[in-house]
Amino acid sequence: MDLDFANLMAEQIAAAMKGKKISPAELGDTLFRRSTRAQKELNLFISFDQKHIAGEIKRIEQHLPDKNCSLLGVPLALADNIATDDQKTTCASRFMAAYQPPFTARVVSQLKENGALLIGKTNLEEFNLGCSGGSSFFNSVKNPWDLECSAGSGAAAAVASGLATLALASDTRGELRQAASYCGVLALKPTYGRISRKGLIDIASSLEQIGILGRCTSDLAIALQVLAVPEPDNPSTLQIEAPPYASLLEKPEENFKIAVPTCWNEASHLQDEVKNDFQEQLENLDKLGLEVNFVTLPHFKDASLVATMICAVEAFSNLSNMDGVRFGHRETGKHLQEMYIETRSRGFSSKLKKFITFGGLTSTPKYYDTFFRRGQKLRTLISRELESCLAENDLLLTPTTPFKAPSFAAPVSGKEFPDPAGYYTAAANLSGFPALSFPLFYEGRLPGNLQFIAPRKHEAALLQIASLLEKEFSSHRPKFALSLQEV
Amino acid sequence: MQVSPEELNNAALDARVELSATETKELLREVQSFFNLTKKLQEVDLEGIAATSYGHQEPNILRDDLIRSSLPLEESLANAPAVDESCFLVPRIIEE
Repeated sequence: MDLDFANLMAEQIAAAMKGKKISPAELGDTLFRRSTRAQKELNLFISFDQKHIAGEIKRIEQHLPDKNCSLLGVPLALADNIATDDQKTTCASRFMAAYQPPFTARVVSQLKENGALLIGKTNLEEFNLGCSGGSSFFNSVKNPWDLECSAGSGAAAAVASGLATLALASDTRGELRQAASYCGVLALKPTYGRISRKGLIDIASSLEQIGILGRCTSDLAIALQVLAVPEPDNPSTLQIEAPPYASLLEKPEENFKIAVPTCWNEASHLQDEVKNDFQEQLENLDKLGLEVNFVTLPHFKDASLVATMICAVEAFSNLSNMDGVRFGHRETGKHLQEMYIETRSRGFSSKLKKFITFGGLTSTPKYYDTFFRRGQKLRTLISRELESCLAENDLLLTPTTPFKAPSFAAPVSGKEFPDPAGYYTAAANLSGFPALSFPLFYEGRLPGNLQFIAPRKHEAALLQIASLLEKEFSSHRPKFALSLQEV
Repeated sequence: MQVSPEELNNAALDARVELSATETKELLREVQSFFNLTKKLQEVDLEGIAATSYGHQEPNILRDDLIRSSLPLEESLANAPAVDESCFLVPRIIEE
């Protein structure tokens, strides 16, 4: 069988493995060759090696007799801020460069128990702080569509290049969806708590959660089905059973009422190309017979600012245990305080140091009420606005990012507070609502994107609209700069 | 609202990091710009609005209060830069 992973769905790979049309050894060899090539071209991994892939193949062979494994042999990439007990977990930080977690994140165990094959740990911004490039200790990830542009994350690049069928990465203010939009893949950030956060080394606990990247809706549905299982004893996980996502896709809803915030075209750095593409897609949705309503959400445009107020304070607090005592990098110092300061000053990037200092500033009595506390109240207001809008509409629609994949030569953003990439994405993190980024393809241009936000626990609606649009819009996928199929 | 370099340096000390002169200058500009962007938000009437501090609104879960094993000592110490038998080693706490 041709191992053209870029065009195979998870279900097809699992069926080919079960039917012995692909041998595990052949799969392992192909993945290692392609990973080596992709790493050379894109710098998408922080760790992957032949020995690890060989270990994974051995494990897959043991799964072969189990016909219930829905992800048997499905190549998986994992962002390097999600813990694995057999590979380092660096968070793309110098401070964590040698860190070996004592346990594996629950989401990884769930996918592996269902037969997924973990190729390696992927590159990201340090502690997933944005996805505009420049802060990873392991350098930036190149975009498989245009090597002069940022991919946003190694996980998105791995899926876009056809190396991985699925990837898991985290989303704090929209990083998962932003990278997906830069790379032309699907991204699903589920409802906060729908899937486990255990083993995620997060920068902002109340905002950040793990999401799924894939190239087709059915792959996202299969992965979500495996992951959306209540986790007793974990208060950050929803204790409710998930609906049967895959079977809901077989008979998708076709009468969605879609709301579009009137402020969608007020984003700073909004590119004309993104604006024109979005307007064109609104017309296409109309032609599909979907009801599109423009709605006023007075504070949607402030979501990125508010999320930044909260994220900075949570990051200041969450990263306070990175002190070089129990784990991580350590510098020398004449006394304990000097050791802490030297360790963190050299262990963290300049971007992260400035961000946690900002969090420290807004945690002081002078600024706490004006920024952090006020931010938490505005968070309530933004969540209420979304709730009330989605009580009358099925979905909220915006672009995912105001601009396409930023070029390394002229980056659009990254240094400012807040990152302008988060204009559309941050509201879903503040409210905990699920959101999905849907790719749009154009010949000779970087991929575009649409973002849908659904009410809490309504991931099925997101998968159904994506499935509907997939049939209408995704028949043509242009060739990208990097082709791994002949490797 | 004006931020002084001194306030920023104190915040850096709270965050246990040292900023270079260039970083302090850059951060002053970035923070000032952020504060300017949030001017309108300072005018929003939030009277009676509760603060949201968590990602979902589900009831908390309390596990049974039972003794159970924790991370073994060897694994707890495995990632530490300096250890002495069962202890994490740190530099002296009081300056000479």
